[in-house]
Amino acid sequence: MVSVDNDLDKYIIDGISPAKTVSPKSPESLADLLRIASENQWRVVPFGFGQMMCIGSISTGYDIALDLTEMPKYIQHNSEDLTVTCSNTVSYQELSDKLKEKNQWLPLDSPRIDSQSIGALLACNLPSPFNASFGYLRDYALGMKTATPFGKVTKSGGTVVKNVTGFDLTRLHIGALGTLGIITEASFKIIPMPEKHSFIKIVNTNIAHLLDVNSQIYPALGSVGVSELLIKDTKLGELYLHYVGTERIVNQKLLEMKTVLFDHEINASVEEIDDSDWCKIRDFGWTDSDKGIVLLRINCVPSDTENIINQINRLVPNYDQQEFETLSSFKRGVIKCKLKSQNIKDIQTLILNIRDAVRAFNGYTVVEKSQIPHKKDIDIWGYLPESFTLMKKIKSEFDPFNIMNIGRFIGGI
Amino acid sequence: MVNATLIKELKKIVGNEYVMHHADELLVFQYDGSTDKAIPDVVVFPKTALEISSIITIANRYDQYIIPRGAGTGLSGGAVPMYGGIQLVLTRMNSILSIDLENRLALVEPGVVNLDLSKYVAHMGLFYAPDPSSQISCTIGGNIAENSGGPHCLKYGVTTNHVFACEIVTENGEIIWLGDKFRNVPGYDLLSSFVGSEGMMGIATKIIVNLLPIPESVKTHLASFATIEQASFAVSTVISSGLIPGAIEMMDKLTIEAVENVVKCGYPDTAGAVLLIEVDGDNEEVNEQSKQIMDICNNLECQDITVAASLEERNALWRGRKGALGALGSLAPNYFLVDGVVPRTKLPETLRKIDTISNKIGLPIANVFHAGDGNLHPCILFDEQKTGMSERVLEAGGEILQACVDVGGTLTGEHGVGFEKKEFMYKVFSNSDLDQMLRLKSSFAPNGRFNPGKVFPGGPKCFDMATYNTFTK
Repeated sequence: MVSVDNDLDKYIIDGISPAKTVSPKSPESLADLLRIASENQWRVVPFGFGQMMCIGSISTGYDIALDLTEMPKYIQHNSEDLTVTCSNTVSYQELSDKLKEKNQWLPLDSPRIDSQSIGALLACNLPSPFNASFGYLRDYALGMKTATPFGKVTKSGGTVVKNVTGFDLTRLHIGALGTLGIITEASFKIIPMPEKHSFIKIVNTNIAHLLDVNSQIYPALGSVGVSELLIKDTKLGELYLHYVGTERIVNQKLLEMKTVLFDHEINASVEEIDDSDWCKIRDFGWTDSDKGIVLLRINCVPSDTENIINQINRLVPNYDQQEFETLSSFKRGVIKCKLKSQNIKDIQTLILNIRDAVRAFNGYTVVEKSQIPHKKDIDIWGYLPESFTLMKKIKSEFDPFNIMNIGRFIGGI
Repeated sequence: MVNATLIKELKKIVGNEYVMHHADELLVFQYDGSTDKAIPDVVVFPKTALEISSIITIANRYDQYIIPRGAGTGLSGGAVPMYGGIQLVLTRMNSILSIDLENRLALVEPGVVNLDLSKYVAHMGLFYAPDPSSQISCTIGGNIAENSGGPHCLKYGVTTNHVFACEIVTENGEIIWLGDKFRNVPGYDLLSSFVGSEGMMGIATKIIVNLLPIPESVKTHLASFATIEQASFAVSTVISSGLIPGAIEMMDKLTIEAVENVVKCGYPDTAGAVLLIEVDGDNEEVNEQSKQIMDICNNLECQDITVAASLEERNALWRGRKGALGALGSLAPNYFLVDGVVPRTKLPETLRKIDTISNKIGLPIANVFHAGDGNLHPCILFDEQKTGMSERVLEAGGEILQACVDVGGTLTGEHGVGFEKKEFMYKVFSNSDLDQMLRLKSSFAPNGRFNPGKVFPGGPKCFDMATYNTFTK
């Protein structure tokens, strides 16, 4: 374990610098460190590749940055069983490259996924367009190991594809932002690489038409397609489609899509796009050109998606926005809003109004990414689910000395 | 023990006819589908979450355990009241409350029978995917408690993959929702923690589940092999080829014999093992996959492979599989069903080990299982009337589970740990692992009021306090 006091700048989160950084070399030394931190009530923040550290509220205590990049890196790929186990420090790209050797795949596409570590992917659990056709990260996780504030490396689940032995702690840690323990290893079920992907962009300035197209195409997407509707400044619309499967199925779906456009006499530009264009959709709000924006993520019942988009589009013109875009998945009930304004108060009022509008549909609005002033003035997590009291109990059971990434999760956990 | 005042209070909540406390009435509730037995002190049949909340409040006041029960089809002693208490039978809460067609969701009560939901939504072109073998009688609430699987979870996933939200009553009588009609509710994923918690963390009173479109086409194949090793190798080959069938089920020679004695569905008596391989999807996809399966099985020199030509033939093939456990009764007075999981590539090795165990104890073991998932169900056939037999069988069951664990597998794929396997938990987990699970349980139910003596090694308070306290501040 190496403790370093200089070069702290790269560990600054939301303007707060730690007093020390420590780089544990093994899960056991990480657990030991957490135990010592518990005993001394040193507040720690796990730090992987540092790509997603802007997620979460402003920390209420940050003594030590736990740099996890020197932890062991390994991948155990059991291709014939369609499972893989890897350490937290493996990047998704490295994992994908390994799986690709056997024509297999862990079907995720959350923002910046190629440069994220597996640990970060699990801890942040950001939704992604592929959720609509392939399911969620939670559906692929079979088990994991975590370092706990009690100084132990503990296991949950396993490496087999079916397992109900003991309580499900694996899914509890997914999306918990490292507030209950630090994931050191995870096992996943994987799937064969699909024969074909096809990415399509349909552009039409008439938003109503595009919504109509989407509603026609949406039911025919089945389990092989994803649609994401991008609306710029409430006016210009682009519909992005992703089809996946065998060559025959993908071609059949493309034909169905063109038939829908023809039948509805919709005059729109249709073009096949490549992987890199799709990545811009995947990384919506997270690309290099997105500096200075506020990114909202709305989760709602899928059938409410269109109504919520319309409500937001009615709200936005009342505010001074330099940039406003929404990206919506009707199949998942996820809307992402990109806001940009020099007027801090204006943008904050808009966020609160959008949040209220979404709440009227029983949805949730989380500020996925923003600058420090907004984090200071607004609770980025928004309305609390009614099970929040239980969440607090879980936090106090798993982290009784309150040292793990504190204040950054929902409700100040 | 419960007293007359407590019974009077329970009757006041649910009505006289929904409280049972006479010894003869209680006898039937001493069982589930496992070999464990224990008689509850009183049985209550609530109708609403509010009634359950009131019952829990009373249980807290009288310091009584609450043991939830659905249809009692569980196979690990999960619903058996090992330490007495109030048995909460949820079968009156059996309404399908609403169907949200647009979002393909169903809101149901916990006592709804699994298959009834699929039947109810069939005319809408939908079905509920988790299909435990007991789906004709098991309840969705029970499925939630055990995170149940079934033959088709190979493709579609187990219960946790299909539950979106649960209304639960907590240990302090509070009624709250976990999850929502969509995924990614902010905060910890409490719903996933709750599903599979074996009735120890709360009582589910309303459940929102996901429904799937009925596939356009289904093909069911019956492939017979000379040996169980060959059949196991075929399973690995199908999976590693990239195909994900709806189901791959295996039955060995002993099971085939039993099925043909009782169900008579046309399984070949010359086979050492048969595989039921089902594919579903659109017509062309199914035809493509069917051809691939036929090619794989033929290349591996299967004795024969046929495709069910009609719905009747398909149903007959499945009738054999689903009736297999019952049919084993034709071979022996009793069977002890083990539920272990191994990596699919370790099936041949593990089945050989099971054969060795069978020879060692001098008892036949029939194998009927979800081969595609590596989820084994060895059935040890025996006569419990013979002295010392039950002990030998339990010991053999432990050896089988150890064999599963030794090759990287685990103790249970779908039946749950319950009472039956709790002492085996150390085969898989350390004290520290169990401590974390206990912390989860304590967050939901700190007083251990619900379903005591399950999952964790030790007595009614689990291995609770002895180990747990060493980690607290």
